[in-house]
Amino acid sequence: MKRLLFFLGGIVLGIGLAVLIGWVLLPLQPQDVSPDSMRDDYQAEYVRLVAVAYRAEEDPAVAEQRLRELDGTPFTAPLVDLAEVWIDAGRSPDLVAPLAELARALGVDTPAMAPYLQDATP
Amino acid sequence: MKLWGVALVGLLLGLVAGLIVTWFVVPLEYYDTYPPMLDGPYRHEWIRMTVWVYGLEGDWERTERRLLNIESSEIRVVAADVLEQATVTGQPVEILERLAELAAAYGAATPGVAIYGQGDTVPATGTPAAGAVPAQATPTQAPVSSSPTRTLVPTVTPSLTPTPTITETSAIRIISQTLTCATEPSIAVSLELSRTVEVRGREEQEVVGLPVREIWLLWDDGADRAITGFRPDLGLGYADFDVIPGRSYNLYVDSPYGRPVLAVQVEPCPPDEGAGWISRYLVLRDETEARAASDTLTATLTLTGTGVLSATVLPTSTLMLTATLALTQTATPAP
Repeated sequence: MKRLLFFLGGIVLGIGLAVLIGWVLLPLQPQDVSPDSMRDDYQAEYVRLVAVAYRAEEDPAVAEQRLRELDGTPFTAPLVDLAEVWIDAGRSPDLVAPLAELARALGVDTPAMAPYLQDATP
Repeated sequence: MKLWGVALVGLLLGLVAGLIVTWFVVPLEYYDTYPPMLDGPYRHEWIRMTVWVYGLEGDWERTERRLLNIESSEIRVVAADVLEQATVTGQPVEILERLAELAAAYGAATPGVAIYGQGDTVPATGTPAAGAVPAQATPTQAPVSSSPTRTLVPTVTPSLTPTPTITETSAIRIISQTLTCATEPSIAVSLELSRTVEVRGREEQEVVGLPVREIWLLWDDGADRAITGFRPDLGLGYADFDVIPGRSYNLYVDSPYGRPVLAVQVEPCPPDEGAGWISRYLVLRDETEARAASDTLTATLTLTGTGVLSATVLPTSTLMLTATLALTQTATPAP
C-alpha cells in the first residue's frame, strides 16, 4: 500500500513537473502566432493599418494577403465589419475613408461606405 | 525496490506522459496576443504597415504605442527598407522625411536616412517656388519729361516710370554636359550649389550637391520625376532617368512649369561612335540665391534743373523674385 502511494505520488509530481515544463518553461514554439490570435482591439488596429498602408503601397494583392491572415470569411469581412462599426459609431471620415477605399479596391461596396468613398476621392 | 525507487519510477512516468500531453496532445495556444508575440513574418508586416502609416499620418505617439516592446533592431531594418521603397516609388518628400525620422529614431543609419533625415542632411538651399525659372529683372527707364527753370520750386515732374523688363532666365544653369554613347540611353543630372564658406578666416567657394530636390522629365504624353540624393555614392544631387530613343524631353528642376532647363531629343550616336543612343550627364548649378542678390540694382540719374527727386521702385516679377531699384534724380540749375 505504501509503495502504491509513493508510485502515485511520483506520477502526480511528474505530471505537475511536465505541465510546468511543457506549458511554462519550455513550451514548443507555436507554429503560427498570426494576427488572428491578437486581441480584438489589436485586430481592429491591424485592419486599419492594412487600409492606410494600402494608400501608400497601392498593392491590393498585398492588402488582401494581410487581411486573409485574420481568417475572416470572406477575407474582407473584418474590413467591412470594422468600417460599418465605425460608421455606426460616427467615427471620423479620416478613419473610415481608408477602409472604404480598400474595400472598394477589393471589390466590396456597401451603401454605408459610399459617402466615404466620395469624400476620399482625390 | 525501495520506496524512493518506486516514487522515482512514478515521477518519470508522470513526467514523460505529461510532456507528451503538453507538447503534442494539447500544445500551448496563444490567444489575445499582441504584436510583439506574432511570428516573425507577421511582426515584420505589422512594423512595415506601422511605418507606412507614420509616413502618411505623422502620429508619433500612436506609432510608438504600436511598436511598443518590439526590438529596435527589427524596427530599424524594416523602417529603412520602407524608406527605400518609398523613395523608389516616388513618394512625396514629406513622407520620406517622416520615414527617415522614424528610421533614425530606431537607430537606422542608411544613406536614405542621412539624406532625408534631419541629422546630417545638407540643407536644400533657396526656395525656388517657381521651379527652375525664376526671373531676372532688368530695369529700364522711361524718358523723363522735365522743364528745368530757375525758380526755387522744382518743376521737374516726377514722372519716372521705370518699366522693368522681366527676362525669364533660369536660375538653374547647366555647368557641363557629358555625352556618352549607350544602347540604353539615360539622362542623369547632378544638381549642385556653389556657396561661400569661411575657413580659418578666409572665404572659399564650396560646391555641394543638393539632395531632396525634384527633377522632372516631361515628354509629349507623360512625365517622370526623380528625387536627388537617392544614390549618395554618385553625389547628393544626383538623379537619373532612363529615356526612350528618339523621344523629345524637357527637363525641369523642382516643378514641371515654366521654361525647361533643357529641351532635348534622344538622338542616335554619330556613326564613328558606334551604334547606340546619346546619354547625357548634366551638372546643374542652382544660382537662385546669387541671382536674387545681384538683382538689387542701384541707378543714379543726374538731370539739369532744380529740385531733388527720389524714387524707389520695387519691380516684382511673378516668379517670386524681388528686385529693388533705387533711383536718385538730382536737378541742378542751368548756368
